[in-house]
Amino acid sequence: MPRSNLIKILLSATIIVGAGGYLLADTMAEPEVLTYFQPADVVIVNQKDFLGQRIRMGGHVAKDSILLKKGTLEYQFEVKPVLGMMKFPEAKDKTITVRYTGVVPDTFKDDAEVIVTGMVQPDGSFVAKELLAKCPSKYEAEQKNQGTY
Amino acid sequence: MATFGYALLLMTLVVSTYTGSAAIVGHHLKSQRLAVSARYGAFAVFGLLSCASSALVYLFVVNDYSVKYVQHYSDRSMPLFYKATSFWGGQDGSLLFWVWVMSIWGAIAIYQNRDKNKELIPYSLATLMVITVFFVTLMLFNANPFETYAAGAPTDGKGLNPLLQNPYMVIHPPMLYLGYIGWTIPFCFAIGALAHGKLDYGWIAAMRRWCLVAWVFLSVGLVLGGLWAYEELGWGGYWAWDPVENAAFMPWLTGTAFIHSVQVQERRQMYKAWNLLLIILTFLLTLLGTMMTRSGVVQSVHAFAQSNIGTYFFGFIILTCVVSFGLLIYRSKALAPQSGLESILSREFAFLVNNWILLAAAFFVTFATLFPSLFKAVSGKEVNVGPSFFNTWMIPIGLILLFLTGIGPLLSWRKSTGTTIRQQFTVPAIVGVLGCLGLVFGVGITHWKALAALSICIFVSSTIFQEFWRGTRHRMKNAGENAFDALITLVTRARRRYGGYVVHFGVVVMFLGFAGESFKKEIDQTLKVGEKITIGRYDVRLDDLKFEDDGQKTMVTAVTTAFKTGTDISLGQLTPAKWAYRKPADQTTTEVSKRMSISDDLYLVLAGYDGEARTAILQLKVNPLVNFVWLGTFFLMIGFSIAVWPERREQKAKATVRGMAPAMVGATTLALAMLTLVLAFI
Ligand code: HEM
Repeated sequence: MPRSNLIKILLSATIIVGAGGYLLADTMAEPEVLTYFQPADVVIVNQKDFLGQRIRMGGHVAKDSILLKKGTLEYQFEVKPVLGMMKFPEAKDKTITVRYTGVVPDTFKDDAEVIVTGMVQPDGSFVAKELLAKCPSKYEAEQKNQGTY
Repeated sequence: MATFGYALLLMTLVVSTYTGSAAIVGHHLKSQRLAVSARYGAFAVFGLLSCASSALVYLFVVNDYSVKYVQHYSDRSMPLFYKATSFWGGQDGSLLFWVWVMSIWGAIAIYQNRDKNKELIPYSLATLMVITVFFVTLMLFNANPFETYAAGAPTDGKGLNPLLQNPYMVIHPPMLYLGYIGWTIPFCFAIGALAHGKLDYGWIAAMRRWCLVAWVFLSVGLVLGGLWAYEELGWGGYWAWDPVENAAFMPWLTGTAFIHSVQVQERRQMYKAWNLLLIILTFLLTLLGTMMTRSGVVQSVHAFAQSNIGTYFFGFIILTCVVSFGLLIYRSKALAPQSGLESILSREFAFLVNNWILLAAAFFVTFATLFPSLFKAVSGKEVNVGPSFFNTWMIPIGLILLFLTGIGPLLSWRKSTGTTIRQQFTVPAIVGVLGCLGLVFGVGITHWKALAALSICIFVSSTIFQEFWRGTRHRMKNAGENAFDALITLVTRARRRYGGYVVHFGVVVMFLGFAGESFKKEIDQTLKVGEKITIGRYDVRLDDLKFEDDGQKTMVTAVTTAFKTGTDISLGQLTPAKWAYRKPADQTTTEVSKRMSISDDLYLVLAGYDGEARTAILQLKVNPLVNFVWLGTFFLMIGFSIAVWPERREQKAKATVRGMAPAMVGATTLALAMLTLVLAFI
C-alpha cells in the first residue's frame, strides 16, 4: 500500500474514533442519559439504598391520594406497588409519597400506572422531575392477555 | 358479516399459497399458463383483501358490537368518519390494513411489469406471497379482527381514544404504512433478482420509482406523526425519540441511503451488493419496527399493544435474514464490482460517505431504541435511555449529513479536478462563512449547535441556488429563452437532478426548524382573570375562564388574548382548554391553542384551573422557527413530485400511463396529504 493511502486511512480512523469517543464520553457524563427503573415495592423497602440516586420508579397512584395545592402545579400523591409483580410482598400495603411540580398528563388520575423520574429524599418521600402516566388499562395493554378483547 | 370476513381471510391464505407456488413451479416448468395464473393470483389476493377490509369497515359503520375489535375501538356516539377509520385503530385491524395495502402495491407492481422483467417476476411474486401468508396466518390464528363474542355481546362499544380522534391520526398511520409497505416491493424484487441471478441494473431500474414513493410516504408519515404530537400531546415538541417514532425513522434512514447509492450502480456499476444489502436492511427494519410497536417489546409512552405476536415477528425476521443473507453470500461472485473508486473527490465517494453516515445513524437509533430491552435481557435491570442520549449523537450526525448534502451533488462522477472544485465551491463557501459571521455579530447567536446548523443551511442553500442559477443562465444564453422558460425547461429536462435538489432544499428548511429548538422559551404561570404575563415577544392576558358541556364532553376553556409586548396591539385570541369525555369514562384531553407565525409559534396549554378563584394555570411556550419543519416537508414533496415524474424520453417510449402508475398513485395520494396539511393550517 502506498504511504499516502496509509496516512489517509490512519487519519480518517483517528478522526472517526476520536469523534466517537468524544461523543461517548459526552453522553456518559450526562446524568440523565441512563436511569435505572425500579418497581415501587423495591424502593419502599430499600429506601436508604436509593438516597441521592436518580431513578425511575413505577407503580400505581393510590386511590384518592392526589392532592393539588390550590392555584399551583404542586402535586402530592401516594404510589403503591403493582400487585402481582412484587419482589417484596411486605410492601403490599405500603405506599411512598411522591411530590411533583408541573403539568401532569391527561392520563394522570387515581389508579393510573405511573412512572416517576427523580430522587428519594432523606425524609423518605420521592421528588419527581418527570411524570409519565398510563390509564388504568382501558385500551390496548390489557386486552390480549386478559381476553377482554 | 364477521364470519364472512374470516372466510375471506382463509381464502386469501389459500390463494396466496397457491400464487406463490404457481409462480415458482411455473417458472421451473416454463409453463406460461401457470405463470399467468400466478399473476392473476396476485390480483385475486388484492380483491379478497379489499373485500375483507370493506367488511371490517362495514362492521364499524353498522355498529356491530358483537365483533370484539369493533366493540373495542368505537362506540355509537362517534362520527361516521372516525368509525370507518377505526379500522386501523388497533393491532388486529392494522395488520389487516397492512396486508391490504401490500396487496395493492403488489397488484400494481405485477400489472406494471406484465410484459417486462419477466425473469424477475416469479421469485419476486413468490416472496410477496410468503410475506402475505405470514401476515394472514398471524391474523387467522393470533390477531383475528373478526373475532366475535361467544355470548352476551355488549350493546355499545368502548370508544376510540379521543387522542386518536384527530385528522392527523386518521391520515398518519396510512401514510406511514404506505411508506413502510412500499419498501416491501423493492425488497421482493431484490430477492427475485438474487434468486434468479440477474443482478445488473434491471431490478433497480424497475424499482427506482417505488423506492421514491415509499420514501416520500415514510417521510410524510413521520412528519404527520410529529405534527400530531405537537398539536395533541401538549408538551410543545414534535419529536421525542420515542420507540414508536424511531421504528419508522430507522427504515427511513436506510431507505434514504438506498435511493442515493442506487445512483452509483446506475452510473458506474458499483456497490451492487451494497444496494441489495441496503434494501434488505430497510425491509428488515420495517419488520423490526412493526414488531417493536405492535408487540410491546419496547416500552413506549404511546402504549400500544402488548401481545405475543412479537414472537412470530421475531421468527419471521430470522427467516428473512437467513434467506436474504444466504442468497447474498451465494451470489457473492456475481456481485463483485466492475469498476473501482477513482478519487476521493468524486460523487461516488460522496455517496459512500452519505451512506456510511446514514447507516451509522440507523445503527445508532436501532441500538439505542433496543438498548433497554437488551440491557434487561442481559442484566435483569431495567434502564431508560433519555432523549438527551439520542440528541448527543444525532445532532452531530445530522449536521455532517446536512453539510454533505451541499458537497455531494457538486462533485463530478469519477474525479473532480481542482478547477471544478474552485468553480463549484468558491461562492457557496464565501456565502456560508459570511452568513455565519452575520449570525454571530449581526443576530448575536452564540448557541454553537444552532449556529453550525444555520451556517450550514446557508452554505447548502447557496450551492443549490447556484446550480439553478447557472443552469438557467446557460439556457438563457444558449437557447435564447427568458428566465422563466429557461428554468422550466431546465427542470423538465433533468427532473431527477433538480427534483433531488428541491428535496435537499426541503431538508435544509427542515433543519432551520430543528435549529430553532435551541431558542425555545417556556413559562408555567398561574394567572387570575385579567392578569397579564410576558413571554418572548408576546404579552398574554387571561380574559375569562369558561365552563361548557356539549353532551359528549365537558369543556373548560381559558380565553386569552395575545398582545405584542408592551403594547395594546392585539395579535388574536387563544383558547387552550381541557376536555373531559363521558366516553371512554373519565378520559380527559388537553386542547392546545397556538398562534402560528413564520418566526415562531406561541403555544398555550391549560395546565390547571380553579373555578372559584377564577385562576388558570397556563403553560406558555414560544417555539421559534418550528413552522419551517412543516414548510420543509412541502418542499420535500414538491421535489419528490418533480423527481418521480417520468422524463420526456421515457414518456415517449412508453406512451401509456402504465409506466407512470406508481408516480400517479404517489402524486394523487400526496395531493391528498397536502390537502390535509393545508386544511390543518387554516
Ligand atoms: C437527509 C438527507 C437527504 C435526503 C432526504 C435526500 C433525498 C434525495 C432525493 C429524494 C433525491 C432524488 C433521488 C432520485 O430522483 O432518484 C436525491 C438526489 C440526490 N442526492 Fe440526496 N438526500 C439527502 C442527502 C444527501 C447527501 C448527504 C448527499 C451527498 C452525497 C446527497 C446527494 C444527492 C445527489 C448527488 C442526488 C442526485 C442529483 C442528481 O441526479 O444529479 N443527498 N436526494
